Parts: sequence; C-alpha cells; structure tokens
Amino acid sequence: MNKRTIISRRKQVKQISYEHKKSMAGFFFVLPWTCGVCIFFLLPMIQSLMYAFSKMDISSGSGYTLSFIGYTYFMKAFTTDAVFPMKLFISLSNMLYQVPIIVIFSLFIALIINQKFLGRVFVRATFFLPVIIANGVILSIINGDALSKTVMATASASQLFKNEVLNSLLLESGVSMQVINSVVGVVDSMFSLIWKSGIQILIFLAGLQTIQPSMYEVAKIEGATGWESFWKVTFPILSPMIILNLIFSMIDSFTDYMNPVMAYVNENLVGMKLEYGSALAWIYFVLVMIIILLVYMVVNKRVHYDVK
Amino acid sequence: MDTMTIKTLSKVKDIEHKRIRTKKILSNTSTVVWKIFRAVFLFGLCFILLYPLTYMLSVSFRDMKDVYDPAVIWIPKNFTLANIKDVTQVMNYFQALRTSLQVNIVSSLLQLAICAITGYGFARFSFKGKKLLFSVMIFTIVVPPQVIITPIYLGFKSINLLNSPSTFYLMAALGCGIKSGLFIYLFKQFFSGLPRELEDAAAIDGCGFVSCFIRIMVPNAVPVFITGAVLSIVWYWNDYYMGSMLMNNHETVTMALVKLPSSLRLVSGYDIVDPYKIITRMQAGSLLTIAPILVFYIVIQRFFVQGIERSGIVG
Repeated sequence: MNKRTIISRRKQVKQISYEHKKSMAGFFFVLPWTCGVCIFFLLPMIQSLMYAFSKMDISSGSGYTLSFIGYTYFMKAFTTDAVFPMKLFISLSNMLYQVPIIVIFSLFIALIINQKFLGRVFVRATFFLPVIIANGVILSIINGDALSKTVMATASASQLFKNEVLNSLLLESGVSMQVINSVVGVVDSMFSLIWKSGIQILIFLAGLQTIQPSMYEVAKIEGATGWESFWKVTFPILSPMIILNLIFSMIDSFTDYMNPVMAYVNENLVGMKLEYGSALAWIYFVLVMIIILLVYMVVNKRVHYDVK
Repeated sequence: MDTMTIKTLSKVKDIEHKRIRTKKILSNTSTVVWKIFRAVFLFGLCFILLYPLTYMLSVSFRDMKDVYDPAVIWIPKNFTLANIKDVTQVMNYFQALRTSLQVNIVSSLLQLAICAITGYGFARFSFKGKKLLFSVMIFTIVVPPQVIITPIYLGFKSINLLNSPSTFYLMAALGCGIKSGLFIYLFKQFFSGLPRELEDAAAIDGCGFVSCFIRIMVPNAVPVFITGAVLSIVWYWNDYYMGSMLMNNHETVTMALVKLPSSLRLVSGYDIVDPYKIITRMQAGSLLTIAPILVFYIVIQRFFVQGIERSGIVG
C-alpha cells in the first residue's frame, strides 16, 4: 500500500508540476510587457485621471500638489467651454461618415487589385504609399497652407476634388442646402479618404488571398452568378476583416493628427491648463471607446468566424 | 423521317451555335469594357496617390524663376539643387538623419523582439489573468498617447532621463513602443495559427520552452517579422508627437521638418520673405524627409505583401 501511494503521489506531483511549469513559463514570456504596461500605461492613466479631477499647484519648480476638485473640469468642458462640444460633434460626425466609406472603398479596391492584370505589383505598391508617407506633418503640407493654394499653376493635391460646378449644379436643380452640403463635403474629402485607406486595402487584400479558389468553383457548379458568389462566398469569409477594418479606421480617425479635438487637447495640455486638457482627453477617449464597443457588439453577431 | 430528324437536329445545332456565339461576343465585350474601365479607374487613383509625391519632386528641383513661370507645370526648365542644399543646412539634415536611423532601428528591433515574445506567451500558454492582460493590451491600442503623455513626461523627468533617446529605448524594450499593442496582436494571431504538433515535436526532441521559441517559432514567423519591421520602422520614422515630447534635443528628421518653417524664417532673419521661397524649401524638406523611407519601402516592398499574406493576421 505504501509503495503504491508513493508512486501515485509522485505521478500526481509530476502532472501538476508540468502544467504549472507551463503556465509559469507563459507568465515569464509576458512579464517584460506586463512591467512596461504597468509603468507606461496603467500608471499614467491613473495619474492622468487624477489630474483631471484636481487642480495642480506648482510650487518651487520641482514638486506639485494636487487638490481634489471633482467634476469641475468635466462640467466646464460641456457647459462653459465655447469650442469643445462643437469640435467634439464635428469630429464624431466626421468619423461616422468617413469610416463606412473608407471600408467600402477599400473592399472595392482590394477586389479589383486581386485580379491579375498588367502592372499589378506597381498598383499594389502605390496603394500602400499613403501609409508610408502618412506622416501627419507631410499631410498637412500636402493639404497646403494658404500660400500654396493660391500660388502656382498646379493647385495643391487636396484641391483636386474641389468642385464649384458641382455645388452650383445641385443648387440650380433645386436640391436642399443640407443635402448639397453633405454631398459636396464627401466629394471634397475624397482625397483624404483615399489617402487614409492604405492599411485597410492591404488587410482586405491579404484576406482575399486566403480564400481557396475551390470555394468559387463550388459556387460556380451550384450555378451562382458573380454577384451571388460575392455575397455568399467572399463576403462571409471577409467579415472578420471587415470588423477589424471598421475598428481600425475608427481608431485611426480619432487619433488623426489633424483631428480638431486632438489639436484642441494638445493646446490645453501644453500650457498651464494641464488638468483641463487631461479631462478633455479622457472625455474624448471614453466617448470613442463607447462607440467602438457599440459597433463591435452590433457587428460581431453577423460576423462569420472561420471554424478550423 | 430520318431526314426530318436530321434536319431539325442540324437546325437546333445551328441555333445553339448562334446562341453560344452571341454569348461569347457579349461576354468578351463586357470583359473588354471591364478591363478598360478598370484600367482607367486604377490609373486615376494611382495618379491621385502619386500626385503629392510628383508635386514634391517637381517643386523641389525648381529654380525660383520656374516658380513664377505659369508655363512650368511638371518639369522644371531650370533644374537646380539649391533648394535641397538650403534645406539640408537649415534642417541639419545629416545629423537628424543619423539620429533618426539610430532611434528607429534600435527601437524597432527591441519592439519586435518583445512583441514576439509577448505574442507567443499569449498564444501558447494559459495562465492566471491572461484574459485580463489581453484586454489591457487591446486598451493600449485604443488609447491615444495624448492621454498618458504628461505623466510619462513627468516620470522621465524625475529619473532625469528626459531629452535622450533612452526614453524611446526604454519604452520599446518594455513593450510600450509605438503601436506595440498592434504588433502583439499580430504575433498572437500568427502563433495561434501554427499547429501545435510543432511544439510537441520539439518537446519530444528535448526542447525547453525558450529554445522551442528561438529555434522553431521564430524561423517560422519570418513573414510576420518582415511585416512588423516595415510597419514599425515607418511609424517610428513618422513619429513626431512622442519625439517632440520626450527627446526634444535630439532631432529626428520628422521633427526637423516640422520646425522647418520657423527655422527658415530664423535663417532669413525675420525679413519679409518671398512666400514662394518657403514653398520650394518646404517641398524639398518633405522630399528629404520621406526619401529614405521611400527607398526602404521600394526595396522591401516585394516581401512585404507576401509577408502580410503569410502572416495570417487575417486567418
């Protein structure tokens, strides 16, 4: 009896030990990043939240004291501040109409580029170019300061789509002002939309490459037309990528260099209005977080994940 | 009766042939129309995308005479390198280039290494709190740097590490470089997609966890590394915000570019400067800023798209 229990106990100890070893190894693999996240992310988040709730007094240069003020800044952001709610509204509504357009457009382009044709490599390289030059600085140079817009035989690139004729044409045909504004707005921003869809096109392209051609053959045998085979074969397989692109585009559009809210937050962070800037940043972040979560929960139900 | 059936059969055959022929003609024309449309469409789009680049190239090499000349649209009549020389001096280009390259390469290497290790940990092991840590990682992608930059700045100031590239190195080495969360996610997706039999085979042959990672997982993950390297290098190159906050004295090329308008005015002594001059210099500066990364991209471009396809981010 003794020998058996000793052996079985040893076996038990060995089993636990391996599992335990493995999970400890996993823990060590993740350890450097965990330390980094604690130091560079969690701690600053908490501190920034504390700033947002308190008033800072800088005394004698090296230290500062925080006195808890509460919701003052948050109230101020929505009630007293003249600019912030409007900027928030503008930036959120921009994001709302830009993101679907970017995703649909990049899907379309990826489908086109996926076919074999002459110059395909060149076209793929060109479409990824915006990601390489997606320097916020260069973009603002491209969009031009007032000088380059009025000067030179060649207008700046963002003016490529500006269209006075479209405006007056729509007006004459009796369309209401609201519709005109939105339509012309979309057409005007087409340049920056094309510019922002670099990574999305790449993700869709990679996703399209993973679809086995046998699926299309099956669809053809079953008598599907091109349109049907797109909606029944391509679209479901691409649905995880669609949601990835949606979320990525949303994140991209709200950390954009030229986002009005971001610029405003930056101004406030640099000056003595540190606390106010932190509060603003937090409000913005929480709002976008809520939107992203909503979109994720709504879209995720219809996403068809590949079961391997 | 036989001739009747033969006649009807041949008539039916003729009609069938005609139908097939018209179908072929229709489908051929529609293919040709589609090809033409696609060619025009893609040409238009590529033009839009390449426009800023060609504009930069054109303006940077223009002499001042050509700037005023409305007949010069793309190709300058007087090709000159004066703009570039000016900008190189004002921007302190070669020093900035050296700083950029140094910060870039070291940070990217550190970041990729740590993200690969972390991604492997998330993919292959289960430990307490894994889900929580994973959601924290998603958070790091979503939160913009502005929210957390000030505490980080103050933290670095208290250790006296501010204004040196070590800030970037430290952050990258601890897995908090630029958009690190995205890389961790990429690696995790990839490693999850590799078959478990690889690990089992390695374990049978006597590999521990670390050597299994180094010898088996890493060589398999080369496409992801390439993708990650390209993205990481590009993002570190284009970074202005973190650089200006954390290492203000060491200028990267992008930081120098942002300062360019004011530096130009400083050099010209706050006189009333011809705006056209500023434009040409700015374009030349932009060209210099993106030239290295563009060369890098052209060289590595072939591997990059293949890398995305094989890395299975989308799998």
